[in-house]
Amino acid sequence: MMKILIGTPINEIKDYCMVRWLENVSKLLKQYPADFLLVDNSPGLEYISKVKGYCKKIGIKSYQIEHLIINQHQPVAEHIGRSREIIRQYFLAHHYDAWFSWESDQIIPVNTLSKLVEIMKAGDYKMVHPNAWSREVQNEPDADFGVCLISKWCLEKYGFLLDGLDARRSWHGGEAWFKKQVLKGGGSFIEIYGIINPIYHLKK
Amino acid sequence: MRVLIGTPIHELKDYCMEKWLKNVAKVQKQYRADLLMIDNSKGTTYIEKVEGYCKKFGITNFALDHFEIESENVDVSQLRSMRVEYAQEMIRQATLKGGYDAWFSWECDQIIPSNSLKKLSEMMQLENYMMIVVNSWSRLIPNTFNANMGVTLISRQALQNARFLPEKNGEISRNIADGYDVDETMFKKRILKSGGNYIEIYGVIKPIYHLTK
Repeated sequence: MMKILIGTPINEIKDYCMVRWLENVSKLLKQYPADFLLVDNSPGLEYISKVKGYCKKIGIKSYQIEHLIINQHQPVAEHIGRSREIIRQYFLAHHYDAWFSWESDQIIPVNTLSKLVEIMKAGDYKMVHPNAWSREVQNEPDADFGVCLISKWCLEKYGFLLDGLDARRSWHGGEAWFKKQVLKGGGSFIEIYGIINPIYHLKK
Repeated sequence: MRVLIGTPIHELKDYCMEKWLKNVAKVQKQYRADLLMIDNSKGTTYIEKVEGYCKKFGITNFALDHFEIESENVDVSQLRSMRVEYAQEMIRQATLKGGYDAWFSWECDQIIPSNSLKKLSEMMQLENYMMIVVNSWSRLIPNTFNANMGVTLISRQALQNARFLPEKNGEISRNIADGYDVDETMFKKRILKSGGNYIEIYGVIKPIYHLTK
């Protein structure tokens, strides 16, 4: 069985869907046991207390919450990129096989993780991206990091911070950049459409 | 799986036609498949040239069809798109009519490993995917993903559920308003809407050379 870390950047802005999402996490963990790490990039520590309350209510006992101190005026892409890097560092320090990147506004079927693990193993893919649907543009498939399984192979090689030595000069477009790095490094990935469904990308 | 390799061709792509047909011959040796080329050049002279190339590379199980769409009142790029869409629809219908299990959509400016079709058909059968789209990199913008229909295996089921152009009075529509600007995301969405699925694979089939000259 692959040792998986579910790792998710969170922010108080997404509080509108946090309880529903944590209920979904709880159900999914019953189908595929995994460790659970949240990285909160909200201002202050108050939101962490709130999320802890939610976890208690829903019965999620085993989890970690880290806090990222960041100027709230920095771009959202930077909030996410730095949060992902914290997840990556935690991942590497604890020797997981894969990171299940799962945004807190996406409700997914409870067998999603076990299905993605099967697909990753079958094709020896380094990443598996199911399509969610764009939150803003209806009927637009979106196979990015919202729901995806990323192998250790990728995370050992590539990070999420801006690096003076690489060509990337902006926090924006970080996901496409990461995918290209995986290909440049000799890896492969797969985007799967209509296989994990339904996925609800919540906006309220 | 019984597969039809189906490709729209045009004399504009003559710069790579010989290289591509040489590649087709190699792919066919690894995985037996029929070849259908739909020429949309002006006149039928180019068909004769392509027949000559096929003979040169020992390709015997092929068919060539031809059509022309001309219109003075339409933008050149729109017309070009319409021709590709019309050819795609012709191939879709030929695949269904011919009883094939899948259409291997393979553009004539893409050079692929000779085991590509074998690999894709194995993947399709193993996981029951309805379409496998291969990233083949943009021809014009370096380092840009290109997961359109350039190298794509499309199952019969997907072709039954999704079309490229509608029919009007028993014939494929030539009305520009029915076109979709060769935006393959439309075809992909039709597959999803019909309850189907597909995958896009990156770094699995390599190298792929998307020829510009």
